[in-house]
Amino acid sequence: MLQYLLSGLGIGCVYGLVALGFALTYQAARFFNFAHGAFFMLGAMGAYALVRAGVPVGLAVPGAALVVGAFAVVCERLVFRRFVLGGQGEINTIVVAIGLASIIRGVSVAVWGPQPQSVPSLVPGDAISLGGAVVRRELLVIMVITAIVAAALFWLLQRTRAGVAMRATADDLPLVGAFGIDVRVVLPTVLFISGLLAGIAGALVAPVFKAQPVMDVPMLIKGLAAAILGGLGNPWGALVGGLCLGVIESFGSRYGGSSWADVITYAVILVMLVMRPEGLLGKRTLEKA
Amino acid sequence: MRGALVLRGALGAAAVAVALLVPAIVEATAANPPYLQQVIDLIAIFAIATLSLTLLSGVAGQLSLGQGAFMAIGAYGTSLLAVRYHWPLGLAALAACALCAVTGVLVGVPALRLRGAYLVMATLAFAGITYGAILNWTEFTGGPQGIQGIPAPAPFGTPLITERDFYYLILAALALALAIVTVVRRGHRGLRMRALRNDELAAMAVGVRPAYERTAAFAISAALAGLAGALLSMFVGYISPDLFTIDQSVQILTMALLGGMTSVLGAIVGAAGVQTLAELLREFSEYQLIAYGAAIMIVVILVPDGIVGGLRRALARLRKGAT
Amino acid sequence: MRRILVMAWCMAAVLLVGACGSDEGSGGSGSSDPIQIGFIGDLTGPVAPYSKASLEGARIAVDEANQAGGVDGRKLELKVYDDKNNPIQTVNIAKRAAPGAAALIVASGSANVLAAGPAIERAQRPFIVTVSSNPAVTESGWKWVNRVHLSDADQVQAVLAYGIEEKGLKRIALIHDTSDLGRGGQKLILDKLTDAGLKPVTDQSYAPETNDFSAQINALRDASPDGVAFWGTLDAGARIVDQMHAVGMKNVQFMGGGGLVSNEFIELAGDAAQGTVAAWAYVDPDNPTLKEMSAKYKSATQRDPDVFAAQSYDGARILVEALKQAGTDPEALQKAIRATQYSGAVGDITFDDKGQNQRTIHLGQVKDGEWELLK
Repeated sequence: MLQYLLSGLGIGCVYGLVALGFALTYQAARFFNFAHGAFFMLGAMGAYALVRAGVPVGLAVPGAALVVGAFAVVCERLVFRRFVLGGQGEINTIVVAIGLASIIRGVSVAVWGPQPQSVPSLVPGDAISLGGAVVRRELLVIMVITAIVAAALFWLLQRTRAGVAMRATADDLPLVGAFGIDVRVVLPTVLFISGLLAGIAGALVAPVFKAQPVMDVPMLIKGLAAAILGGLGNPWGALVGGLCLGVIESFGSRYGGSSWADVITYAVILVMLVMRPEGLLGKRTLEKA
Repeated sequence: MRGALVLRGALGAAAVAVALLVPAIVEATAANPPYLQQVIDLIAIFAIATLSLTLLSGVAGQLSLGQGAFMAIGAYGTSLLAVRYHWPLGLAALAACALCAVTGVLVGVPALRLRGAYLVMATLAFAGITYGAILNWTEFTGGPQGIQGIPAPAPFGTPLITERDFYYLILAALALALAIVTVVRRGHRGLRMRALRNDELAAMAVGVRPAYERTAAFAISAALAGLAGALLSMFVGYISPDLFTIDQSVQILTMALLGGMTSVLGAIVGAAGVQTLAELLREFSEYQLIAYGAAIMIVVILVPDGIVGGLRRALARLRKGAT
Repeated sequence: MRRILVMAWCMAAVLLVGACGSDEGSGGSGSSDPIQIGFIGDLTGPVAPYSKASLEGARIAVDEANQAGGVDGRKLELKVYDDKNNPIQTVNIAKRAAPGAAALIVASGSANVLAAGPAIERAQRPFIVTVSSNPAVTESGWKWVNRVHLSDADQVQAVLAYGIEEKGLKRIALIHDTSDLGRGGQKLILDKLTDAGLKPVTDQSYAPETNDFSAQINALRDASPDGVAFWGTLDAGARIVDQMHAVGMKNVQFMGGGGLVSNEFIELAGDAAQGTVAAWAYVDPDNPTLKEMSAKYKSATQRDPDVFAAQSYDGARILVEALKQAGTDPEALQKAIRATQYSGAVGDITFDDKGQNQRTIHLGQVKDGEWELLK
């Protein structure tokens, strides 16, 4: 039992980190970044490319995350901003992000090929035994990083001016300008953090998952599910949603058969949207119309 | 006003004539007629699937990423009934469309309170569940091995085997779909206009009808997508879950946005655009993903109301300039 | 500005629809035109690793033939089409490519081949299948099909016979993907186990694009197997065996199909690959044809050839030989392919009257970072 719980929590942290970026973007700009899965994939492919270029693993992982963060800012400047500021509607923004993800996948296949690539681990060695259950070292690191990110996020959102600005943006886009908070600063910041988190998740699990261009869409779906499960209006929701999704999948596969794992993920999305669109941690009063 | 009507009639008649003559034109001009006809047939099938979205957005102002799932239900319903239970093909297709309509209601009712991106994601999840079900429920659906040997329809006794024969069947279905969408949209707009004139009616329309109308729109839309799926299964003669992945739903949404949803013509233009792009980029493998993504982005950025919408605005501006 | 762009877009779309129909010349008519060979595969989706390897293999064979002067003074031209693993697109391609091509090489997944097969049959062109392993491909009564790929049934038989009879495994766990490949393998493995009076200790499955196998690995670990029979693609196999080892399942015999025999598997799985047993498609490492082909493949791709590259290479060579004997007449060409007595990179190949190639299956095992012939 403990084994299933730990496995679920470990993978849940990966989902949580991805979902966090998703929720932050949604909170800051009311926009669903369907290219977010591609950021995760770029993290893994970036770590592979850096290691192949001779960069030590210890530098390649943060390096890849930083590159993805920077890339996300470029995407914001060139693509997303006009949609968010132009009020083009959520659907067009989703479609434009799908187009962007398609380009990223295409370029990745052209550059690195369609095959999976192995990436050396930041923490090589066998899994660590904890009370009869075993956990891979990579996932332990991810758990620790998730905890750090959670603490940093708390500090950032609650205590700093930038965090307040981010939350204000989410509450009322048109009003933000009036209060002297510049969307053109907040949005790139949020995109940078989102890209960084997705990139670091991708780079860290690359030794376990193996880096491959097609890993983008499955993780997009997991991140979406986790964010919706926890509640899009709340960054804590994304982390909690990720952990819950990981555990649900772990036990769901155990009792329901492992081929249905994806169906479980989709069912989580559908049930949450229909029964409780504000998510587990969302405020009941929020009208998602 | 009358002049415009006459012009419209003439244009419509010309369009019908051209549509009927397409196979002859293809036969006479193309280097490889079966291939070109195949692409045109597929464009028409996907135009029907895209029209199902045009209808949904026109009535309910909503979009769905689940049309691929309704296509799957239409295709699997038709194929299973025809191949395994030996139903006559026409009846099987009809029953499959009805099943889609029922599923449409089942999805539409809980989705009533969802809007915009939330609805998109709920329908995406529905598409994921449907795909997982047909993939994993192997005893019933054949699983990943799919269903082989779906018979060709034989409306006049002889089975339609060539792409050319099939074209007329698809064309008839497309005409039916166009008619349904036009009528529903007109009816809906008419109702709103009447509601504006009369307060009582307006209250009724706002109080009771919207839920009913949106659910009905979901049902009809699902049935249309199912019709496209049924046609696809008969046309290809083989179906497997790979035909109905999330990508398929994304592609249908792309077609709708590319063509534009302000007019029924947009569905045809969008389906033609996406299919043509796919064929043109065929030999470029990974670059087609890049070009496909770029095409989507360019259209959404430059003409957010689609090609037909953009053309209309351009025409309107031209006309203004002329007078 | 915007208006002009929109107009340009529409005009481009219309023009291109027309162009689509006309870019395929009726190849094969002129005596000096190149002979076209159509290549269909998934070059960007989930089957891409196999289709791409196939493409490279076929390319080497075609280049060789062209350097040797082609066929009857005519060059060979490989026309490549990407079906993105979408069966409808495979049908489109088949209809588009078949009339202009002397023959087709189809390196797509099974669902795609099953969808496109009838279209190729109707176009009456010989086609060589190099990746799909579904029995239905050669059991559908098709006249024009030739498969240069091992049948899954024979591979399962060979691998499990080794596990059960020679290694004496009793607690065999099964893990397979939910695609056509994995489901087909699952059925064959279950049948084989039943024949041997065994039951699988657990039967796990996963979606083809899965990266994280922790749920499946947990279940495998709970079942404490002494052997794991795996049926799926190389990348998943490498991930699974790697993740198994990481959680301490080190003395469990890992067994799989011919797709695993490639250095890529060893690179991906690392030390965990050690001891893995798989059906081996190319028999003799000292086979000069394989050696020569390997060297060319490596210089072109910086990777070692896998079974799909080797099979596709052989398939294209069989085609070239048949073209030399019979010319481009489809009937004669197909007859010549079926009558092939060929010795190539994967060993001796002949076809039965359904188009399935017949060859002996050997087993390979990973020892110290290399695949070695086991028997």
